[in-house]
Amino acid sequence: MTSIVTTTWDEPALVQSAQRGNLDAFNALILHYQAQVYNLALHLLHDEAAADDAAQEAFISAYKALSKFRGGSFRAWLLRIVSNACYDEMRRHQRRPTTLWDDFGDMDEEANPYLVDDGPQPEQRVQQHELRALLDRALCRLPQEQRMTLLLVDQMGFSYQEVAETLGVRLGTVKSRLARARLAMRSLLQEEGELLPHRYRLNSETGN
Amino acid sequence: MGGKYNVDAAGLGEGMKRMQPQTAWSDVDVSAYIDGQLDTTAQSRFEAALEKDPLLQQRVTAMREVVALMQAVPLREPPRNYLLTPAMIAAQPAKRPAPRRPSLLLMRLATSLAAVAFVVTAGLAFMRQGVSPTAMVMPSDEAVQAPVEVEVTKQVEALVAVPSAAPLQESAPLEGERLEKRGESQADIPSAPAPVAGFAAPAATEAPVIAAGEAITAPPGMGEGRVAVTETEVPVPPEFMPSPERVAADEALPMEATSVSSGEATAEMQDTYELTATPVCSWWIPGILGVATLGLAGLTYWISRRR
Repeated sequence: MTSIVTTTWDEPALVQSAQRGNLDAFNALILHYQAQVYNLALHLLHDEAAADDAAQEAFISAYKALSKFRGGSFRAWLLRIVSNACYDEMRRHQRRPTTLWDDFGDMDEEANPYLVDDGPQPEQRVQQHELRALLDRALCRLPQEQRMTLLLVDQMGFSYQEVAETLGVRLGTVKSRLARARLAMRSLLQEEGELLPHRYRLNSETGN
Repeated sequence: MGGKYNVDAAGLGEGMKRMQPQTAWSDVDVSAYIDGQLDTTAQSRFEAALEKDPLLQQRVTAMREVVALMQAVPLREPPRNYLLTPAMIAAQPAKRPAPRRPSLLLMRLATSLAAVAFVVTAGLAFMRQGVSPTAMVMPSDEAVQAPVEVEVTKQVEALVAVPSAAPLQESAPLEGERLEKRGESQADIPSAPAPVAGFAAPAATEAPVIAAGEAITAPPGMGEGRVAVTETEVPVPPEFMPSPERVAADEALPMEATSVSSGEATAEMQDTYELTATPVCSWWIPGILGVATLGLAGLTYWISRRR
């Protein structure tokens, strides 16, 4: 099996190589998009373990269905596979976020890698954690279609066209959903204005 | 600018709605402008309006804040890498269809049908047993019972034996003619099987008719039997009729004369059965159905408990 060493990101070449059966090329694509895939699954399923499983299954499904990819935005095609898999999962199990005690594993930080924070703990990182919690709470209160549009555009940097391909809607629908989502998100964040980290507070609050 | 905006926007959505009539640009346009999704002409017009319209500037600023907040938080890192290996691709089994479970409804239906079939066959077997020689009341006094059976035997033999020929027109009258002879009308014909009159008072000159399921009734107190007749209405042709000489001889014989020893009577009873009755109804079919019903009922209960 030939391995591809890429110094520059050439997505079409990687996709073509993967379509010819080059698993290393597909793994390069996985490394590039796995964070987006996992986050999309997490926001749809609200369950880290389920999102983890869904992401892995989605990549396997994508590899097997790679011959059906006819060009266009690869990440839109990939995330559509993920979202469809998540919707199927939700329909099948009506999944609720559950946390088992076993999921915590060993509470000893030395033994549990998830509890080890080997990086520094700067103030910015703490504030990001707080903001993430606030954003997640606000996002959960948005309608699902608005939430997905907002995530894809503002967090993952998708173009409108890519969002339309991913969600299977028209371009005008993407525009209107995004505008409504942004307005609703602002209102929701203003409700928790005092909880927002100072540097992230909205001008409407800091101006007072 | 910010202070004015704050006064308007207790909630930004409401504030924007109040501001919207003052400008021709909708929220969708503002959102698309932020993302650079307006076409060139609309982009230039929007920028021209933005320079002159402070409310439009506030709307753009407010929406940009939301976008900046969303982008301030990086994506969560996945808990692991999802790199694929050839083994994962090969080992990934095709989605197996869910194991087919027998439908509970079908099982219940099968159980019900088996139960119904069991009841029906058991009932039939019980009814048929009435004509079997073993079910016939085995007489304690065979000397009394044997002549009756012999009498029945003779009558049936008369029906099925092939005696000497006789003119067809005379001995095979139409149904109406026979009814007239009997002094009955069509309306008087009972729908239920009637006893064959010939057994009570044998009339050799009249072609007896036996309907399907017709009971052959012996004189009261002397037991009774039942003869299965395969055809519904069988006028007996004259060639099957006993000769007048034999009928006369039979009538002349006293009852005791036809009585034979008990051993002979038993043998004749068996002959009678072979000629007229259905085979001995065996109980193995109802037995199998009963066992099947019980088995299905147990299986159905087990399936329902598992679910």
